Amino acid sequence: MSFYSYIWGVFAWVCIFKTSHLCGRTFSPKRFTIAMPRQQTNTTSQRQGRRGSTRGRGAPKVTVDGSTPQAGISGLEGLKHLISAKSTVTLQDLRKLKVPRAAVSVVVRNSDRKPTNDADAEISKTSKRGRGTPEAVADSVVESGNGRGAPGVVVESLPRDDDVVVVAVRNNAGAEVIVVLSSDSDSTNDGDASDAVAPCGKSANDPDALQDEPPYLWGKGGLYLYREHLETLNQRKWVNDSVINCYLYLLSEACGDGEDGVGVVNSLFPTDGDVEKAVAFLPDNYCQCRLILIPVHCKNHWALVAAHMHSSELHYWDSNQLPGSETILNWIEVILKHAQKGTDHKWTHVVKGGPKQKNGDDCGVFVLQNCLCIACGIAPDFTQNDIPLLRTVVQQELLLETVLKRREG
Amino acid sequence: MADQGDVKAEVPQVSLKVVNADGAEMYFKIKRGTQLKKLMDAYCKKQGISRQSVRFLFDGSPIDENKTPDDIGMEDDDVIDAMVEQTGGLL
Repeated sequence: MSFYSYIWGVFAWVCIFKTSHLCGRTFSPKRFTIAMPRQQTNTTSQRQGRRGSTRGRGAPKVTVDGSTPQAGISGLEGLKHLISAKSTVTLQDLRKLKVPRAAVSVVVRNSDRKPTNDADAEISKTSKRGRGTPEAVADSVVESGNGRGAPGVVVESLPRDDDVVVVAVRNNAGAEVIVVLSSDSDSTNDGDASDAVAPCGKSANDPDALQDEPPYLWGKGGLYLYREHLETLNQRKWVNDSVINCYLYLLSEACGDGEDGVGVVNSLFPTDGDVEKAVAFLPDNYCQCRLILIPVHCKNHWALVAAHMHSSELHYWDSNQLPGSETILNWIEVILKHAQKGTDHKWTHVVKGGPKQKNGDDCGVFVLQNCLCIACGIAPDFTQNDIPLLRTVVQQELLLETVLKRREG
Repeated sequence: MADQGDVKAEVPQVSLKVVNADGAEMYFKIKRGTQLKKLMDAYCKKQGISRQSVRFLFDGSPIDENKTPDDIGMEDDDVIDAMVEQTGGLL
């Protein structure tokens, strides 16, 4: 019996050797052993990408020049690729990417643009010469009096904006300033003034053309993301409202309108006081939304209220589970009830557990990731250990102005 | 020096109030067709603060700096909120 097994074994080895030889490849035991565990991989590029990593452990990892199932590139480039492709990824995919966790150096758009031709240079010179003129304008206006009674003291002129004219200041209580802003030459206030600003004023559109590129990275829906804001996503920094609001704006945009729409409320909404004022912060189409995300800022801490409109539930997500959730949920309910006048909506309050924060810096990132998971309809599956990675991911998402949707896995 | 009343008749303006988080008010007159960017920049310069540290809101919405008072239907004595940055980690 054992003799026949031996014979069959030798025969099998010879067959394998012959087959590989006929295919033009030399037989290598090493190659054979590597090929065995990756039966599910299909393409050679994927095999090559994984070869280095399978050597170490059983679980496939992504090497520096290796591949991921989606991108084919890892690291920051792979992340950018995923975001640009508007992929839907799992947290596992992101973990495999091995993106650098250090602060991302943000590329700022070139802001030191020089005048490109002689005409520009000439205008630039004129503008400089015109710097003193607003004072003259303001003086003359004050001498002539203005429409709001006795003129006050003229404060310093505002440099560079040749078409901004300070008319008067009243210093009772809180420095009350009246400023006349004009955008072109015909709006100058009087004869002297128009003489004074004429050299600059005539170039009506040029001041804008002359201005450097915008100081912010992008602006959408009145929200402006500056480089300084993005830096609050660097490791261990406290995330600011601009990052939260810009990210939620992108998320809402990615979720689209209609029945599947996700509405967001600006984090600057008042957390007490005037209900009418707070109602104005609700998105216009909040009735059609399935979900409204409300980032709540209270005493240096970020938390989140998710209003599920169809099931009439208010979920409170706090990575640190501080007390005070009921106060906030009651306030949100007051706002929503006030907005939905006439309807007798009953809201159920649910305080959710969710991933826990283990330091004093990351609550803003927890809020962002909770928002993303809730909007994508999955349970928040990240932990404190993922936060350094997720900070980088959010930073890149904001830079590329799109949100990488998440799915379970 | 020309009569100012005539100019006012020609140029429709709107007077707006910018209120900061402490309740301090600052009044602006701005042409209805002028971008609100000018108002924001002037406010920041007067207050000596940087543009990225203030959020301007009108009626619950952040203000697009390229819009004009006409675009967003501003009326005389309307209030613009100038809010400060919010930041948070933990209590």
